[in-house]
Amino acid sequence: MLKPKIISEILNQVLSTSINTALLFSQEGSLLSYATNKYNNIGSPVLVSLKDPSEPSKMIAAISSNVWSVYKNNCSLWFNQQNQNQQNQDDTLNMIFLDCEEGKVIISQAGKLLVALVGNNNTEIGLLKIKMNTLVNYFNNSLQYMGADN
Amino acid sequence: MDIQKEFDNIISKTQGLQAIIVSDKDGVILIQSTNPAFSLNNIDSSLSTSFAVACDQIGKIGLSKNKSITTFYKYHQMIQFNYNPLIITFIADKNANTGYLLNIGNDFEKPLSAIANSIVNSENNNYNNKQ
Repeated sequence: MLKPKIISEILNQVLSTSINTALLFSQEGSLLSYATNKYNNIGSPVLVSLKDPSEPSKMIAAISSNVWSVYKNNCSLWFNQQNQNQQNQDDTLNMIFLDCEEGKVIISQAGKLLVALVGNNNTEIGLLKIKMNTLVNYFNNSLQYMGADN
Repeated sequence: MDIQKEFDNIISKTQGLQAIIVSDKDGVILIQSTNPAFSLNNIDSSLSTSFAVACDQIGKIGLSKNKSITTFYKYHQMIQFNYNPLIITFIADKNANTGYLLNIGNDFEKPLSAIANSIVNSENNNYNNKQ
């Protein structure tokens, strides 16, 4: 059986002074597990005033899953059309990196679920990618049966 | 046109870079430069509209405005920059140097701001004329 507490502990291991939130969520956008530390830079004053500490993570999960589905459904198709005559027709989406003015987000797929890491501006894309790859490899086996088939 | 030459030059010099496209958020292409070996026959507005939709939503995450989105596919990578109202899209092979592409994309901000400003001004003029 899946032990939710352990998932949160694994997510916690990714965190550092520059990477402050790690989330695991479904492709529909519902949050399964999250870990965050005191360097957290997300959460607008409106959200901080809410009593639920998972509120910013829930919002990131919802928005990230939507962005993932937009790029997976629209743009993968476009790349596949380009390669119709070639062998590489399965140009699947592996990772999305969002660079914002006050932080960076990376999203990837582990099994049928999605993982996201949120960092501040001091973090670099290479570090985020390596950490994400390690996390995805770790989760891939154990989470392959979790989540909806789409 | 100088900017077109500059794009062609960047593509020929950068290993793995296949295409540079400047469009607006509705997917109308303003400037386009591609590697001759890369077929870009049916570029569709979905690339730009997907980005515009995603950008709007990412603005609500709480990390302020979105600057760029990099997507890694199995055989390609695509980098899109948000220079409102313009969008620059880089399409490259998966092995291309992402950090370098992000850097040259940032360098375009100033040259393209002139075009962006003239678009905004013409939109404002149209609006004022209608009123």
